[in-house]
Amino acid sequence: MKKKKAAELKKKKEIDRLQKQLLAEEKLEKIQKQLLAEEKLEKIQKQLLAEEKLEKIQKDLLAQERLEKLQDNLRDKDLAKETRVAIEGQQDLVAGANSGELEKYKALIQQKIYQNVNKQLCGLDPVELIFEIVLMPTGDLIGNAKMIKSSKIESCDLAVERAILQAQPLPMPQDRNLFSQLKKLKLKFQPNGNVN
Amino acid sequence: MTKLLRSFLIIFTIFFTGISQALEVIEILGGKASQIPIAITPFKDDNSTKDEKLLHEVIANDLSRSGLFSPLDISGVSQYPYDARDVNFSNWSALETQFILLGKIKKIAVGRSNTQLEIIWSLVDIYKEKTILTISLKGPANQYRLMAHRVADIVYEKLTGSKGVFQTNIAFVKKINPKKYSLFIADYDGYNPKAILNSKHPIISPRWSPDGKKIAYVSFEKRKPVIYIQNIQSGKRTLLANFRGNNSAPAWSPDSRKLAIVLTYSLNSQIYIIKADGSDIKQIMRTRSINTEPAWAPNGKELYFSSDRGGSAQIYKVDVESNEVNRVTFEGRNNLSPSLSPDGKLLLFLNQEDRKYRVAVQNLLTNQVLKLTNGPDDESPIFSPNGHMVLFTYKDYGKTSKIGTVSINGLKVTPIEVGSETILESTWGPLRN
Repeated sequence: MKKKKAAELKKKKEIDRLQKQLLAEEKLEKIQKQLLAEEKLEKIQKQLLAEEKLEKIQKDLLAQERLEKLQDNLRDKDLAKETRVAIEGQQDLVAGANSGELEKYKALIQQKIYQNVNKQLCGLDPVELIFEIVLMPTGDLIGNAKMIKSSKIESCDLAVERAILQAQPLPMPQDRNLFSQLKKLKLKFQPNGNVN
Repeated sequence: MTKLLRSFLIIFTIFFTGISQALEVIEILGGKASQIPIAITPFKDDNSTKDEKLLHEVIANDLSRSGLFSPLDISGVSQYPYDARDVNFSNWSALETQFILLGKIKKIAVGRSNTQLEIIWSLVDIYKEKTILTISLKGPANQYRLMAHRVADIVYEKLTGSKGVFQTNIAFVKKINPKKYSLFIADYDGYNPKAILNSKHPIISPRWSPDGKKIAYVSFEKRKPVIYIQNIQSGKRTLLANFRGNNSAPAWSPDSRKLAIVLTYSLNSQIYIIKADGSDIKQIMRTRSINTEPAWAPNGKELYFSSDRGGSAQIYKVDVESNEVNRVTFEGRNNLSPSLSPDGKLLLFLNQEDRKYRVAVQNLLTNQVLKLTNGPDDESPIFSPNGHMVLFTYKDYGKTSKIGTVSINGLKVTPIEVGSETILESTWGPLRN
């Protein structure tokens, strides 16, 4: 009887041991498989990496191309301006110089507001918002930022409105003529990137 | 006469085109992932206990954990407002906070042992100098944490447009000692833990059903992994899968009626779908490669899973009906343990590179990948029910497994304190209705 019990116990222990071993083997097998997979993968990954690099280069090229196009356009514009200036004389020369200043201030305003746009509150889908603002020469808003187009996400509309308010005072030029061009602005936001 | 009219018209035209030209357009493309600064001031209390005095800290910790808010350090402020009318806008705006949350706690005695609290609180917009909300909440004094979580949820939803998860629960498995494993449920921040199962054998892969009623898990009590479903309220357990080989990786379908599971019934790990009552089992895909860790897309029509079919472990998706498979992850040496955000737009997974396992998230619209943690030994990432946070397991310096949360913008990693014992795995319960 005792023997039988002992044998049973032994058997049970043996089963336990085997089970543990099996589990260990399974783990080992898993690791081995992973190692093998990793080896295979390295090859694929190298290829993927190469592809990635290529893609990056292509992207860079595209960006470069875009930049060149932009510069070409600008140059064309400038050229056109110059021609016009040559024809139309002194008055337009001033306007031409001012247009450079205007772009500079627009970029400064754009930068200052952009810093404050918390796009996390606008979901993940592309959305567009348009606000209109009226400014004092100090760069502070007169009245509220008027929403012309809503993102249809309340938290996003409010976040963008806050971004505008937070950016006060906006950078404004001393020149009165220039200020009159920036006094009333239309701000177009696409927090999750291009809508189109 | 006509001449006069004509000159009028000309003036008119000049005037109007003049105006439309004057309206310069500035385009602002993109934005940043920043945190909303908010001041959360101590609530005015008449004779509250020490714990209840910390109510504002519970709210601040909630909002901070989400990664979308940065509660202001108010230790230097000498006087707090307790009423929205008392807010000094220029002072608070000088501290560069956008909002202030303030309030009062009142004690209402109901009988001898049952004390009730009333919290009257306001959320005030500093920029617009406007009170957004004033709300009164009542509840038992011993549930002041839950009341604080409720305040945080309301603020979160008001300012982010998404539901907060501060009143939800998590479940986790603790290894008390080599012969005792316990499955706990607790508040989402680890407070108020309660064991719902004690076992001599390891328990892994707990998964909360989307309807909130049950938890499925893998237990080794049959000397091999088998899957159980336990009713949380009644404690009743039913054996879901005890097939030949290993039974593992349960994943509830969005309607809580089915589960995807993994069996080694045939050659190796393969994915099967089974009804929650244990009937109607069917295999998804028949391949030679390993298919494991299934996760449902919210539409209930696709399963994301990890497989070694491409040489390394990567994440794929399969159409449950047609069995058509597409690869989803491409970056990184190995990608494992997929799960989907409730809107189906983000894929959460474990990324392995340079001998480090990190929690990562991939935007399925743009395929952009953001690594949320630094590893090196992170595991089992799972989304919060609003998809804004991730619960995951990590190893601390002593190499014990701990749990913590990371916000999906990667800005905030916060441990969840549930004691010094090793945590095997965890799961996040659904939103309360």
